[in-house]
Amino acid sequence: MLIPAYNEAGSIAATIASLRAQTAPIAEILVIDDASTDETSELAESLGVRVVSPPRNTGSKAGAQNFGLQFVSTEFTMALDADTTLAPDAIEKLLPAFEDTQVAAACGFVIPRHTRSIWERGRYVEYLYAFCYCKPIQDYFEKPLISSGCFSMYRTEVLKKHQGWQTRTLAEDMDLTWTYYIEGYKVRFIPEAVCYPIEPHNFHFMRKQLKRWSHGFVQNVLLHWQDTRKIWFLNSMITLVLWDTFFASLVYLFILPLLALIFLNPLFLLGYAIDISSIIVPTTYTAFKRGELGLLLGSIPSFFILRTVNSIFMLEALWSEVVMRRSFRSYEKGH
Amino acid sequence: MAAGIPGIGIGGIFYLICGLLLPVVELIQTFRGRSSAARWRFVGLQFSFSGGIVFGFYLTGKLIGWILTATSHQGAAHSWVNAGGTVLRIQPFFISLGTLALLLTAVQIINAVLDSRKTPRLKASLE
Repeated sequence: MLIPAYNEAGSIAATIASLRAQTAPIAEILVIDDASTDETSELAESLGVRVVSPPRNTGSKAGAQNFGLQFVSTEFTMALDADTTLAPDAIEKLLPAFEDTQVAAACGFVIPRHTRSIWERGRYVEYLYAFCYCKPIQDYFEKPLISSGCFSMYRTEVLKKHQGWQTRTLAEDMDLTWTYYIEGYKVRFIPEAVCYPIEPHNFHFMRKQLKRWSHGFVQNVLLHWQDTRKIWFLNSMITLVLWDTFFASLVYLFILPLLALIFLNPLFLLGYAIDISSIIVPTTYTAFKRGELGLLLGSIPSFFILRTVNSIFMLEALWSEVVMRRSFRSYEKGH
Repeated sequence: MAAGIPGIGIGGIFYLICGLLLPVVELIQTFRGRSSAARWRFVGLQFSFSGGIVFGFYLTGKLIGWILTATSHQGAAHSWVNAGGTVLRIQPFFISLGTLALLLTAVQIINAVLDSRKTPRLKASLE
């Protein structure tokens, strides 16, 4: 289990505790202390975990994970964010996916650990919708869009064959997933394997994460567009995300407000929430099963705020990466 | 995590249609001997989600229509509310559906043209 960590003294103890509680045995927990300036390394070592440190800060999570990969000799490698805890049976649930020898990676269900701020609540609804509706459909057609970087399991042989995680984009998890598809491997989504990352709790950190994800997505499209043309479902999903990123963002940010102003009719603003049923219907079922119906209903407004903010960052990423050809490369943590 | 805006736009319609068509796809898999009870339970759930979303849209339109009519001057029908009592129109749905079909078809045509020309690989240099 590789845990890249940069100044994660506040969260790493809980992460390691959740790994110690796993129903499936872990051969070794390896924390890669990426030149932290806090007590991350000391804390991890005090919990009986092996800690390795690159000679200098690697500049990204991918760099830290790659440094740790050289120490892995097991059949499977897992990567877990230092701020992410796992349900006790998460690893046990992921393992059967690899009975298919073509599977190179598998990921699970992601739920924010904390849901206090509007940003965490918005992300809660966003994840619930994506992981209970969209991603299962992607998996049905054997093409989950991403094997989430916060928690995934990989076939070590295949991972090492590709020199681990590439640092050529800001979304190394997306880059790796699409590379696997291009090379004919499979990636699976296992909803029963649940993990709980800490999501950005304020706009300062949410901004950094959204910027990284938005630019990372566009960078991956630019990098892989030729090769993903041959994979119909993946190609279609990428096309639709790009289309919605541009046009839906324009509708959200400009067209709806303009219509309301031009016609002096606030009813046009109903467009921001007219599709509420598409969010509520699938998420209600999962939230009810988890005993979180009240949390879901109370978080719906936050989702619409986050969605609007997300559209700003997506448009900025398209403008910067595609039109201005200015690639954003600074990797900043989201909490 | 996927960037993008879930739930709206033609991406949402794509998943909606996928969910509604899953029983057909799974039926084909069943005839090929590749199905199972667990897969059919999954298909049933996703189909229910998609069907529920469609019904939810219908209810949303009716609810907004009722509110607008109830709050209109002297209870007269609001201009946005049609004879069926809803603010939703079928035309935008078909426009979105048509856009989805056109976009996916256009992408496949572009792919076919690019393949037929056997253009040299374009390397998106990020390094």
